[in-house]
Amino acid sequence: MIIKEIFMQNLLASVKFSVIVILLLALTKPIMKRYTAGFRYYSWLAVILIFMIPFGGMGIKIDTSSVTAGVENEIRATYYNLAPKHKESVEVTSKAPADYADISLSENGEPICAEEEPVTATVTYAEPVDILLILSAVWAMGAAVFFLFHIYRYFSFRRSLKRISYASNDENADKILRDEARALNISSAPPVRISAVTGTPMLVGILHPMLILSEREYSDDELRLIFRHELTHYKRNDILYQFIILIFLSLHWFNPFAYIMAKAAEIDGETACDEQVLKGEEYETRVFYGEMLIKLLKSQNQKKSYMTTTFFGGKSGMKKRLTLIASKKQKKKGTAAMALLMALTILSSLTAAAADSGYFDSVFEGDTSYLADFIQTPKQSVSDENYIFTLEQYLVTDNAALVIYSIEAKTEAAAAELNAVDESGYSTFFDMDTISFVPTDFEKVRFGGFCDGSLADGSTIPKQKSIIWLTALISAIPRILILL
Amino acid sequence: MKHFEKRLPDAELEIMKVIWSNPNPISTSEVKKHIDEQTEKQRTQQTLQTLLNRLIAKEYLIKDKRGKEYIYTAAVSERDYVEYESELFLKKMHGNSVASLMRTLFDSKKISDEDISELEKMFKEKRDDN
Repeated sequence: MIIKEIFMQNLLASVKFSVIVILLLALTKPIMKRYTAGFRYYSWLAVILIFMIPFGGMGIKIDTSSVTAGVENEIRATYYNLAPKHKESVEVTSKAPADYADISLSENGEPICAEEEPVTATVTYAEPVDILLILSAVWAMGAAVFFLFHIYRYFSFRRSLKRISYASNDENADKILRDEARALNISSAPPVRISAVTGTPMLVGILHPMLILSEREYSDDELRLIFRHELTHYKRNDILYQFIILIFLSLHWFNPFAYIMAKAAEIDGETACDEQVLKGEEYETRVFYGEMLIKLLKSQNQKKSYMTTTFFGGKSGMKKRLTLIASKKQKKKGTAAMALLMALTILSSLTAAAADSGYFDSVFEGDTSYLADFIQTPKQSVSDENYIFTLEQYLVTDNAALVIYSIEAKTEAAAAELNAVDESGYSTFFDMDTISFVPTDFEKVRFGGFCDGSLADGSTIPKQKSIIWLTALISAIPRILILL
Repeated sequence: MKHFEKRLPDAELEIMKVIWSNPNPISTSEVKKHIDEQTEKQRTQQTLQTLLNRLIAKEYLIKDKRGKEYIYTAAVSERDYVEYESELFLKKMHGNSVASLMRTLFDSKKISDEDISELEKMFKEKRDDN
C-alpha cells in the first residue's frame, strides 16, 4: 500500500537526517564556529530541502518498487496472501468416544457403544494485525493534525494581533521606515502597527506581512536598527523559510531531532540577520545594538506576561547573538554546499563502514586495533579555501563508532587560528564546549611549508601544526545505522 | 467597570473602533459613513442597525435620540476593552513558538531578571575585550 511505502521512506529519511544533525552540531563544531551564521542558516535549509524533495534520493520517493527488496519481502507477501484476512471461527464436529463404562453387551455378546455425542470445538484464525499500516496511519494523521493546528494557530494569532493593535500614525517613524526600506532595495515596506502587549518587535505574515512594534518610546537610532532587522527578515523571505520548516516538522513530528534542528536554524537565522544589519557599521553601532537588545529585554520583563522560559532559544540563543555582536573577529563565509557535503560524506562513509564491520566483528574477536593498518578505509576529504577536512579512518561496531579525522589548514592565517591558544595555554580552536575531542598522537611528518616531528638527523624544526588529528568516539549508536 | 465575558466578533469590534475614534455621541449615519470609508465591505443600513442593536444589548453602547436620529455613546472605554482582549491573547500565547510563522527581534519568552543581568555582564566583558 502506498501509504506504508511513504511512511517507511519518511522514517528512514528521519533517521538519516538525525545523524546529520548530530554531526553538524557536534562533530563539525570547531569548523562550523568559524563560519558566519548566514552559512549555517542556509546549511540547515539545504539539509531540510534535500530530505523533503521527493525523488531527491534522501526523502520520500513515490516509487513502488520495494524499499526493502528481497526474498524476505516475498515470503512475507506470500504469508499475508494466504492467511485469512478476518477472524474466522470454524466449528469442527467429531464424535466423542464413549466411556468404557458405557459399553454394554448385546444379547450376542457384542459390545454396544453408547450413542456418540457430537462435540463441537471452535478454531479461530486470528486476523494478522498489520502493524505497519497502523503506524503509517498514525504518522499520517499526526502529520496532518500538526500542520493544520499550527496553521490555525497562526491565523488566529494574526487575527488577534490585528484586532488589538492600531495603525501607527507616526510620520517620523514612517520616514525612517521608508529610508531603511530604500537602503535595502525594498519597494514596498510592510505597514507598521503598534500593540500594547507584544514583548518584542515582530514581523508577522507571509502574504500580507505587518510590522508590529510594542508601545513604548523609541529613539530614532533604535527605530532605524529595529526596522532594518525586521526588513532584512522581510527581504530574505525568512517567513517562507519558517513555513518550509513547518512542513518539515509536520513530516517528522515524532522525531526530537527535527525540533532541535528547527530551533538551531531559528537561532542561526536571527544571528545571521544581526550580521546583516551590522554589516559595515562602526563598532559603536554594534555596542548600541547589543545594549538596545538588552534594554528591550528588560522593559519586556516589566510587562505582565504569561510566557514561560523554554529549554531552547531564550537565554542561550540570546547569548550566542550578543557574543557575535560584541565580537570583532571576521568570520569566513563558506558555502552551504560545503557544510552539507561534509556531513553527507561522513554519513555515507559511516554507513559503508557499518555494512562492513559486522563481518569483522564476527571474524575477529578481542582487540582489533592492529587492524587499523590493514583496513583500507577509503579516505574522503572536503575542503574550502581555509581548511581541508578529511575522514581518515573509522571503525563501526555494534554500539560505538570510532572516527579518526583530520583538519588541515591551507593558509597561514588558518594555521595561525588552528594553533591559537588563550592565556592559560588552552587551544581556542577547541572551546570548552566541544564534545569528545581528543587530540591523538598520530603525528606524520609533512614536507614543504609546515612540519611536525623531527628530521632524521635529530634536529627539530620549529613546529607550527598545520594539521591536527582528532578521534571522536560516538558510543551507543544503535543498529539503526546499519539499516541506512 | 464592565465585566467582559467574551470577545466581540470582528464586525462588532470594527464598529466599536469607529465609535471610539470619533467624538461621541455619534449618529447612525455618521457611523455608516466612517465604516464605508474604512472597509471595502459595503454594509447595508439594516446590517449596521442589527450590529448596533447587538452592541446595545451587550451594554457596550448607550442609545439615545436626537431629533429623528439615533445617537450612540460608548459605555466601555477602548483602553479597558483592549486590555481585556490583550490578556486573552497573552494567555493563548503561553508556551510554543517552534513552527510559528513570524520573525521577532528576540525570543520573547520571559527571560528572568537574573539571566538578563548575566547577559548584560557578559556583553560588557566581551565588548571590553574587543
